[in-house]
Amino acid sequence: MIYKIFKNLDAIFSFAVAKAHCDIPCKIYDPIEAQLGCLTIIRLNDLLEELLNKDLNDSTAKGQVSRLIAQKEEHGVKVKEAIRVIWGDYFKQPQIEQFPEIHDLVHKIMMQASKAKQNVDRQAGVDLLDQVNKFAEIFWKTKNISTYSATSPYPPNQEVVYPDLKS
Amino acid sequence: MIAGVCRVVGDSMQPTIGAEAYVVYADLKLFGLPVGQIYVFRHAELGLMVKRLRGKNGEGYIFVGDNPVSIRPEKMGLVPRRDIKGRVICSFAENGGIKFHYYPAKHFLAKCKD
Repeated sequence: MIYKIFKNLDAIFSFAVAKAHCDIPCKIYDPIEAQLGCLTIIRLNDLLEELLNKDLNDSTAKGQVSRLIAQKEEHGVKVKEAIRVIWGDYFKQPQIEQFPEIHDLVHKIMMQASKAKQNVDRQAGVDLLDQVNKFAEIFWKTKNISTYSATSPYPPNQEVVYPDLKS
Repeated sequence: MIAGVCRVVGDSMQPTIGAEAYVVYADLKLFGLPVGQIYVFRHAELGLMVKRLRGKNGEGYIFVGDNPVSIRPEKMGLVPRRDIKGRVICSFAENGGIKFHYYPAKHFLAKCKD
């Protein structure tokens, strides 16, 4: 009742708008950042496995392993951050009603990203990509944009969900 | 302006104040700027904003949203006192809910105790 009165008054007097944005209101959201993060994690696992099969007495190799592990950790955090921002800022009531499974999926991504960070475990990275692809598919569906799966044209050559922007 | 009404856009004050709610605010700087209360203020780059006051340092005030994914205070910077427009008294949600964020009687009694 009172809300309606304010809304009607707003239509006449145009009240000021106070922003309560979760981030700078740029409206640019794209799960590709998270997908690239997953691909990077898988690629880093491949490089780590190659290195770990070598003689690690070499200090250069040791340094390289440390660097790759640090990068894997960093990209795990990036995946989590990218998904959290889209889920927290972009997904509103209409999108959540359309895809109620989104909360469960995001939680699974958080858990899987932690798992992918913990060990040199390629499969954990592949599983993470699989879940992030599902998230991407839902995200583009909320925008009525169809998607297709294609192998990434660079290592680790995994299946990635892309938006079909020409359809 | 002593008091005003504005419409909220965005979710950074969720669950306290949702998007599209209307908030009524009043300039009560005379009574101080208690930490933990919600304020409407003008940000140099982002414009008019509504956030909760987290604290103060020498040069300005630090605001945060109630939503954990809200814009980080270090990204927003400090807000000078002159840019704080007022303290949020109550909010009217789109679903008809009304919340009071400031109780003058309680505030008055607290002042009397002091």
